[in-house]
Amino acid sequence: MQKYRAVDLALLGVASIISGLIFTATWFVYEVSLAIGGIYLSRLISYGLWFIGAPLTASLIRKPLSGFLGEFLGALVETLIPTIGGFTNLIYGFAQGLASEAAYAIFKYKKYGALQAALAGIFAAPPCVALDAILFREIYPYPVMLILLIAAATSGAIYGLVSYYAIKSIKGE
Amino acid sequence: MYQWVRDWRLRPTTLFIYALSITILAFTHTGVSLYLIALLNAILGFTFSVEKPYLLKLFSIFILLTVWSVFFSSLISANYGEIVLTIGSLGIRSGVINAVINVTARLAAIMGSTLLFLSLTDPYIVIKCLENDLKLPKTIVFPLAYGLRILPLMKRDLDEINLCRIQRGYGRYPLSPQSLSSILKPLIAISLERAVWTGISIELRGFRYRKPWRFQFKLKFLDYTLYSLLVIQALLPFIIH
Repeated sequence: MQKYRAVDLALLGVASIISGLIFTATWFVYEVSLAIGGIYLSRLISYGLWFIGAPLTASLIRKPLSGFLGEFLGALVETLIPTIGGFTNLIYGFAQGLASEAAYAIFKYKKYGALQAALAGIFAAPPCVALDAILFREIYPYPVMLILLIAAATSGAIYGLVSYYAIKSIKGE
Repeated sequence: MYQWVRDWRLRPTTLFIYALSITILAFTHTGVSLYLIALLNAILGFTFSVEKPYLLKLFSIFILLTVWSVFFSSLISANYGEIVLTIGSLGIRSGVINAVINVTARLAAIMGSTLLFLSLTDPYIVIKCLENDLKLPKTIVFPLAYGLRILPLMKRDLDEINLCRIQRGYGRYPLSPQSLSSILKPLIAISLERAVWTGISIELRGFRYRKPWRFQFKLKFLDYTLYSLLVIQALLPFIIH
């Protein structure tokens, strides 16, 4: 397995701070979209932003476990910046990070392209929706849960692609 | 060196473990034990955060927004039982009230313990203590410490970028994706460039071979008090019943 150099750790630090700040700001986006558009629109607009840590960091560093670390450290930063989620952010970050990491693991860490970034966003949706149901009792009838899952996955895919192309643009590739 | 270690009455790691444990207990406990945990931690958190009013304001806004959204969610998913309140043609049943109370209690416990943690610690000291006490690897500790250190630098970069944008005729606040991109792209590019050179610099200084200097510590009276409080809260369901 490739080792992390000091440059990779420094880049991970920048990515985790950017992710943490995005996660924190997303609380406002979530609350406003929930008030305006209800449970479906709020998932579609905001959930992908909470999944963005993994594809952003993996597209930047391109090493095994970079996706998981980006999401988990972003959640840790979000915990240190006060948000209403408090330490539950760590639980979400851990579960979503592991799920997003699978999107790169299934390609044996040889590809870090747009498809992988979109899949990383999609894979983070099931554990997120499951934790919402387990921790916050957001349990709805089965068709509603399915639509929520699809909305979260779609949002994850969109923001996964956005993060990939953003990093590609910044790196000048 | 490390004078702050001797000065601290309550170890940051203790507060970290306490806040994380209360978060877990908030989801495992129900009924009266949950309400007691929520009440205790809300009082502790809000009492100790008096010196940081911005935290209190932020959490108060979050509480109001979240209780409101929980109420609307509960109307869809938990509107069963006896009718408690009627607003026009909408009947609000006991299920909604129970759901709102339970979720609010859960959030109060989580937020209270988080407020307690944030009010009594400094992020840099927390990271140092986590590395020493919980033996976290430098793969986690260094990015976190570095990221927090560059926040003021990113703020300064953001101010410079905004000044340049205003001089070029852009508005102060980004209202379109293009204007947002004109802020984020240079900000992230500068930060990444700085990270690359920081990484090269510390690698040349032997970062790879760095072993953290472990210092001995002893838990003090307040640490034991907080741990005892945690154990009591964990055993509440057995004590009450």
